[in-house]
Amino acid sequence: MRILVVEDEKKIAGLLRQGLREQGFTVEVLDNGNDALARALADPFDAIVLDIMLPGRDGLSLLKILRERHIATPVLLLTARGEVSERVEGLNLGADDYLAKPFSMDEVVARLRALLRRATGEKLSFYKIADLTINLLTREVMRAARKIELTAREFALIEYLMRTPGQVFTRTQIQERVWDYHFDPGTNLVDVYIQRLRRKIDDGETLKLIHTVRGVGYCVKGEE
Amino acid sequence: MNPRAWPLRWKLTLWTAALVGVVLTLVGIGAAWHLYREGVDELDREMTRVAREFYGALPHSSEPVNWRSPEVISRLFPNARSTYLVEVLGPEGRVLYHSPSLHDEGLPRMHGPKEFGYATMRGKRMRIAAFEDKGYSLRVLAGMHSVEEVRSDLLRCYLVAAPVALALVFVGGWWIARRSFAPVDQLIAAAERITAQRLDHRLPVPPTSDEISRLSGGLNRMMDRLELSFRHATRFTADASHELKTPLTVIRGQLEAALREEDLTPVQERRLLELLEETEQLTHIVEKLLLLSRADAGRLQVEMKPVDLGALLAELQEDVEILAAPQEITIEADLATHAQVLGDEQFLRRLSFNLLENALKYNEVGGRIGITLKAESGRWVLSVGNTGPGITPEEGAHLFDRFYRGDSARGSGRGGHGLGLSICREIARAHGGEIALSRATPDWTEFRVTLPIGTEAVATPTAPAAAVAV
Repeated sequence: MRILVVEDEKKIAGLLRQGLREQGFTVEVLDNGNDALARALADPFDAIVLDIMLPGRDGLSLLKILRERHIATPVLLLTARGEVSERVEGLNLGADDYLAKPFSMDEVVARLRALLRRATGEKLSFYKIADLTINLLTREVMRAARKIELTAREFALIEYLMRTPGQVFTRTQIQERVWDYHFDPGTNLVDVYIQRLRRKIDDGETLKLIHTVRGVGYCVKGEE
Repeated sequence: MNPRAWPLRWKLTLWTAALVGVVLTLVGIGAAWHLYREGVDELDREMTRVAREFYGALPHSSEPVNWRSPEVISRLFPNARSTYLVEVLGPEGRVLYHSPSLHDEGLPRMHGPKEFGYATMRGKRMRIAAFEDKGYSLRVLAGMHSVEEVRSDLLRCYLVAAPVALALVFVGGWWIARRSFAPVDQLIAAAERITAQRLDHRLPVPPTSDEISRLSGGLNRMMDRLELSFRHATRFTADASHELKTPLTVIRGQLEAALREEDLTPVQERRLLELLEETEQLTHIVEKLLLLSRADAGRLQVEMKPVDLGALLAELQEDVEILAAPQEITIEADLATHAQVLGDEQFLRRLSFNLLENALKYNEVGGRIGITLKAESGRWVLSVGNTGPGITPEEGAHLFDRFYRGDSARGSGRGGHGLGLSICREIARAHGGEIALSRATPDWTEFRVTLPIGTEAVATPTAPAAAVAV
């Protein structure tokens, strides 16, 4: 997987390069908009991580040109201000996702993975991990032959986690995606919901499916 | 009403009218006195003339005078008129002649040795004069009624004219005062429109170069300096928050990378996790400061869209119920349905959640949280109350201050940075609403948020005009 990172702040660019390489991506880093545009037009990347504030050509204008030329490479926008207008404008111009600085590397990786998967056109109405199945149409959740009743929020949470088995999701990510809370709620809301899910899904089972990842977040996976 | 609280133009008008009233009275008294004196002087001159004619026509004392002859009398008193009376006494003090209308009354005695004086006769005030020449004494008496009549005429005129003049002064004075103070009223209105969010507004400076224009100019220059320092302060917070983002991202990234290392000892891992957690806290503070500095600069961007506040709260209620369950706190909600407001859903959710979170955080085991949303005089009123240790009045006064945390919150392990309520207030204000501590008893704390009802109200779907207006 080849990722183009366009970021002019050396330290953040270095962090992205290091973090993405660790996760097995091939990374190319550019520090200005004009070079990045030429590079993105010449060579197909699997995804672009794009800072909005750039010397030369800014991220939004770069994105606009790419989409005008029908280049559909998934784009993850990095915004410094996290202002509503920038966010909305970016998404309107065809960005696939955005992250406000300061961000967590794990979150960048998680979101990139989601973008790449979406780009491959993967669409399911049925998720299965080990003996846990959820049906997106009937909204039925089964653990082996045991039917599990979930509230709407609990269902949204398990669905989000099951979309990519083994992928770690941070609390912020979960809050934003499942609850649409784009702020620090100052409570352990996610932890409380995870506990409830565990009670309903994992209690009394030998194989635990919901895992906590060292202070970072949660993931669902079938085997160690 | 306390006179100190009267508008300046009323005080000015009243003082002017009072002064004019005093002046009018003094002028009136002076004029009346002067006219009276003039009248009396005229009488005195008249009486002196009578005496001069009398003594001029009178032969020397050795020559006898026939006082009974009308010819003699008419020669002695050629201009005899009914307006004055005369009496002639001989050298021995015997009355030789007196005006016929005097009968035998005799003239009243004069007080003192003065030539002219006053006397009362037949109940009337008279002017009396005594002359002495050629061995004869002449006394002349004149009625004062003409003089008194002039005086009372004047007073009558005055009693009519003075109130009219006073009324004119009052109305005119009020008009002038109002005109002079109109620019001041405009200044007040303009000054009240200038708030932290509109520091760039200035007072109108009238084209004249009078005190008002100098006042406006002076105030505007003060505002310039104020705006400059305020902008500096806001800018500083915004810049500082912004500049902190890059190092924070790097710190966080490196901590996460360090946590992924395979050979961490449990102690190292715990330390790194603690650092990561603190970094996240710092990130949240920076984000909040940036939001507040944006609000101060009037640049809090609010995307105005119709939001159903009732549905939003119902959704939050579900979360809060789950969060409250371990402490056995019960939630009592009474939410209006279709509570439409025009606003930013993210911000409104944040405002509501902050309040609910506080209600949960500062609660007690087995306590209650009350949420009500209802329409009240054209606005939505959201009340969030909770049981638990109450807020002292001292705490209540500072609750919305930045970084303020009450004694009960400090050291209680309840977390928070003391920015939540400031943010709530900025959000409410950005939506044209307000937030206040509405109840603070020892066992119940309640916050009240008012928000304007959305214009495209769902409650009145029959109004087609709303759709046209957009």
